[in-house]
Amino acid sequence: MKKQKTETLNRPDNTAFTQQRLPAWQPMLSAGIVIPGFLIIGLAFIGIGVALFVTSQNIQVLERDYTGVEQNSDNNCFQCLNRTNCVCAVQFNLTQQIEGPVFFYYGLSNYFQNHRKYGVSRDDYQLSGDTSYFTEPDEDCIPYRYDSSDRPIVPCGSKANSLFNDTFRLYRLVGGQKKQVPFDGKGIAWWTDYNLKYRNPTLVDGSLAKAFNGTVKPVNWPKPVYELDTSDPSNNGFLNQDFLVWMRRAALPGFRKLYRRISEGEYADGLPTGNYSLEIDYNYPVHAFGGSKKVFFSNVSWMGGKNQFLGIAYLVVGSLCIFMSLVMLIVYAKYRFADEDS
Amino acid sequence: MLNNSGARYKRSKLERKLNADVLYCVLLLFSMCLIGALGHAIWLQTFSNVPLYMVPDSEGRFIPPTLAGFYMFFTMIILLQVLIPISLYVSIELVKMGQVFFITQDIDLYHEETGTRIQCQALNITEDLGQIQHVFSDKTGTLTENKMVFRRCSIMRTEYSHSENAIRLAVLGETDASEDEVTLFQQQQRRKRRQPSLFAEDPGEAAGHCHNAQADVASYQSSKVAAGAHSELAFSSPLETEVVPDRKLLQVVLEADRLMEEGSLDQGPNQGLERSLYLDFFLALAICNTVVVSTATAQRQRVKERRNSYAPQTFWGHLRGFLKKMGSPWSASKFVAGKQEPLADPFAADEEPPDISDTPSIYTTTPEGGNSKTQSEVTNQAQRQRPDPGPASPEDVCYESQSPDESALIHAARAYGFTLLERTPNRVTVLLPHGTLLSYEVLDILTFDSTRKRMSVLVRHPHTDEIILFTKGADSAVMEILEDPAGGATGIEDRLQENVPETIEALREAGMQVWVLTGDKTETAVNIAYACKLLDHRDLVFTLNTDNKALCKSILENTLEEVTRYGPDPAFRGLGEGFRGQAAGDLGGDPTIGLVIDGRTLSLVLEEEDLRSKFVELCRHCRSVLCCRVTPLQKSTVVKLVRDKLRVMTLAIGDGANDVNMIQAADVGIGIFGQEGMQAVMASDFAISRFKHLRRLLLVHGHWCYSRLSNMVIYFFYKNLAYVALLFWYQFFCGFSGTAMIDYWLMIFFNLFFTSVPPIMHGIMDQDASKTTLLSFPELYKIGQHSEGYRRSAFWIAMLDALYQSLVCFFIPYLTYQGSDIDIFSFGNPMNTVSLFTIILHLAIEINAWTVVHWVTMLGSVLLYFAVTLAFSAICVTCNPPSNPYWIMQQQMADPMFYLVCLITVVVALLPKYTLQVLRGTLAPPPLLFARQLERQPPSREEQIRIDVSQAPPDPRFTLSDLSSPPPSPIQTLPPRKL
Repeated sequence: MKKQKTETLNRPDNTAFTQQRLPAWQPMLSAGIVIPGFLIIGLAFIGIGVALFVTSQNIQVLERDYTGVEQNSDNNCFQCLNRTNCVCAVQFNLTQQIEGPVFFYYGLSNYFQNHRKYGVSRDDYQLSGDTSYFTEPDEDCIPYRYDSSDRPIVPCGSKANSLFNDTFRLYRLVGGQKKQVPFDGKGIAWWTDYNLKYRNPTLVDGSLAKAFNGTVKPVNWPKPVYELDTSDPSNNGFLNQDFLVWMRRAALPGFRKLYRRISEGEYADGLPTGNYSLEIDYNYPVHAFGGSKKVFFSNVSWMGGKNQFLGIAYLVVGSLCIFMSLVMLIVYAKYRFADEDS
Repeated sequence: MLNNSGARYKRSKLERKLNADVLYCVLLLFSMCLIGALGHAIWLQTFSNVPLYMVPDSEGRFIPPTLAGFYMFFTMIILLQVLIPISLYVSIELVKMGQVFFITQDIDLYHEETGTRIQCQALNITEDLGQIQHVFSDKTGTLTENKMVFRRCSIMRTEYSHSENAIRLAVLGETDASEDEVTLFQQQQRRKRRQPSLFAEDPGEAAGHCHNAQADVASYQSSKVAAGAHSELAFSSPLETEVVPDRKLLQVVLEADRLMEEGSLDQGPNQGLERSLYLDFFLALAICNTVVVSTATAQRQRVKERRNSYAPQTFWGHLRGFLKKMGSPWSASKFVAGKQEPLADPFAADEEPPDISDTPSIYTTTPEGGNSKTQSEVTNQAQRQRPDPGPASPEDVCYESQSPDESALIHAARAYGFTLLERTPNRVTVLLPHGTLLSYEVLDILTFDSTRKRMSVLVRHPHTDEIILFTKGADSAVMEILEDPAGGATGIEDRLQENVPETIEALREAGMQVWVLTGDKTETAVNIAYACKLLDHRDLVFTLNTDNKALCKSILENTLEEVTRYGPDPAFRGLGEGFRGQAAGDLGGDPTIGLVIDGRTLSLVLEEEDLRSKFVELCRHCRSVLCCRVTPLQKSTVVKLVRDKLRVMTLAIGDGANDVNMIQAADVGIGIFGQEGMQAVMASDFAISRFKHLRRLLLVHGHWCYSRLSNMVIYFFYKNLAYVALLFWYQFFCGFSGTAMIDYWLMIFFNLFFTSVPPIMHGIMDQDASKTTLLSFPELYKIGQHSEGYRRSAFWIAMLDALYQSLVCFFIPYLTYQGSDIDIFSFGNPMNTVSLFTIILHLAIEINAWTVVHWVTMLGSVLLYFAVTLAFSAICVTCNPPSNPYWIMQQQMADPMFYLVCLITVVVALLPKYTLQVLRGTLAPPPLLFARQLERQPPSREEQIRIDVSQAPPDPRFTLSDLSSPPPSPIQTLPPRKL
């Protein structure tokens, strides 16, 4: 009896799991089975493709290069190429209204915000308003950590230092008169950036400027961070919208960044037809290293900005799937052995 | 223990190949890094002015482009190092642990009678089980039970067939395949001429005897039931211990014994001498051995205790204890040897038995008094021993024998009432059928050795003071020196283990060449080979048996020449040719070839390189090779020879200490828990209880382990490259600056958590074919043999697929987001997600059988990815300074574009793989798919499918014509399952 007991103890469990007998589904991949699959995917993709393509087609974009590399009839930025504190203007004519809301972007190309060293050259703690990092910024900011007289730079690092500083004003030319188109600069940054990730330091005596006492501005900046927007005191410090937009690193060397929205007053429905002049405070030097600067007026859809690629890709892949289903049908007809009964 | 050279590290064939591929990965990594370094240097040189985004060093200077490129090489190594699959090695270990778990859990590899599971001692060569090409097997204890069963005997040229016993054996187990080992008993008795006396057999009396005899037997049997129970614990099954006496023989023996007791034996005429010979025969069985006698009562107690605390180790530890105890008879024999001197002259050389007439003195010097003395001695002894637990009654006696033969013989003697009650260094006591105790003085024991090939016991008869020499030995040994006919011969059967022929057949169909290497003599080995279908009667069997080197060489050459005439390479399974060759042989075309070689010849062959090559060449042509009378060293030399010359995967299986060398020499060593100790088991990689388990171990588990592991390894290479290449493509868009567009914690998690469990689960649990299929179609084993699961081509195809998929996973999102205001992690996030789906679904295409575990791990991985990424993006505002994926995933998941990008990317990435898989499954289904489809078909449709199979495009490697023959019903071969 005891012997039997010990033997049963050593006996492996006779369960479906231990005996590898778990009920299993064995997919048999063969032509016959996948025909409907290919067909359904093909049709669905063509549907999606058409929707994307049409949506993308309906997005209107006006794009102008204002680097000023060559003399151009519609802008005079050529004169600013090697000067500082220069103002130039881009003239354009809208023959068709750009439906609102219109988004106004600036774009840079051959500008590697995604360079590894550039990307890490910042201090997240400093930018979250932690004043202990105001006196001693993170080492990642080197060489934009202290200025020549060893004063801490706030905001430190190469990323902040290279802040885009061209400014734009749009005028509509009506009957020979320049009429400024109002820009809306609120809420162009990510909500989380504005509300959670970036924080200004606690005000000292109700003053933001005093909170930055003992720090110096980044070397390339004309003004300190608390004076970025003179027109709107709340749009200063680390919570300046343009600063936030710039600090969100672009993924690719050719990118655009949102500058303003045009959605107020008579422009709520869009930019009407007519002549326009975009005045630019031309400050940001990109030509020296082969970069270019552009502006974009664009409306957006549920799929974001204009992009033909995805719609076409869906159409192509969808057609390919339909083609594959036809191939499979032929294969199936020829070699029907494999999937009979299955 | 002495033969165990300690722990070995075996590296499996697959792992050796894998290491080479890891080197390719290293090369690939280096070339990627080199491209990155060069790219960075060239990129830097394109600038005449320093761009705004360029970060100078702490002194505000910029390092020259070449130096920056040089540094970038190392940055790239850090970025792309995932390409070197360190995780693969860890995963392989985990997978092998899981595989070993399932092997040990297999109830079909569990031996009910002994309660032993398969033991996996080597954890790292499971997949080698699926690649075996040569099997080297021991014979005794491996193919056979090594449990000797008394079958028949012949005394004075009369054969007693023991048909009753045969019936009993038939009931206890199949007896068809059997081996008869003949042991002859020679009785050299200094007998004085006995007075011929008339001995008329009274029919009535004889009938009475017969009746008595039956009664005796009946009571004996019932007592044996009890005895059997405990004697089984002492490692003898009732099969060996119980012998039903032959009715006729029992009658004669009892009669002889009765007459001897009455002292009237001498009075008979010729029959008297004959009858005494009968008695002598059984006395020889009882005395001429080195069996240790112990009392069952004490024994049983101990045995039970041991059984309580059951563990295989203690079980065997105990056996070793028993073996040690057996040392005593040997020392006893030495002790007796000192006493041999007075008798040395007549008995020293048994090759020349001294003339009987020369030595009457021996008998005449034994006075009458001597007779009475011995008698009193007997009684004294009996009295003295009563209080001891000693030989009280025949039922309580337990035998511990060194060899199973001896135990079979002594139990046979016991069945006829000749019970060995006690053995001391100088005395043996035998209880005769009618209750007489005979206590012989042991003068000497000549133990068995391989030169003399027999064993003898020299005793003095207690009554007559006759000095008697009992000798037993193998037929060849005894017959050679025999002048008179043998006193008697016994036939002992070492039964084949169950299902041995079927197992060998299956291994053969699976493309394995089976060799038997045995220390036994040629005749026995050949008999066994036929019995277990290793050799077939249609086979052409060549026997190499010579001790002349020149002759050996010429025989070898001639045989080789002759063999090559029978078709090119019929048996060598060089990439499938053998399959057809074998099939042709089965159809009665060219005969298949067997080779029998004995140890002497083998040692000649092994001496010379030229002969070795010829021998191996000859063996390639043979379906089976049988090496007889080989030493343990030769066994291992043969294994090494074949392994190295033919470059094949070898497996050696054996149960005894003499197999240890061979087991260690082979790629896979298998030990059998047998009657001969633990050495083989301890030296082995896997230890099983029965030979038949080999079939399931190799064909099912071996195949599974190999295909699972090779799939997993290839998948790991694919996975790492597919992911790393994404980062590499991005370098072309970030100035080769070593930026990653994915947060580095998420990158680590990706390999560590999100994509690691499914392949490991796949490596442990996938089934490319079910157990039943694999057993029904042993040909499927050839996939592993030919390393088809893991080829270099498969590796490169996987790598190309990985490159393609990474291109798709990078460039579809790239082209979608190109020129937009997307930020770096929002750009990387869809890529990461798409890679996850592609990598997981790629595996899904590979999975052959989806169980609930598969679903859980696959879905679990995807869910885990989203859960972890969402949590990480939500919690970590500034916790991970240089990189910051805060709120990225949330933002993306609110954007329909994210889903659209993911959908199309995954579809495009997997389309080629999926389409190829489908087309392959339809146009050129590999044998596995065929087998699976056949299995799915209802039986009624089988005919139709056979036609289809034969019309299917011929695969050069697998002629599936054999599949059309009805597969051996798996239900029959599977042991009954308890549900």
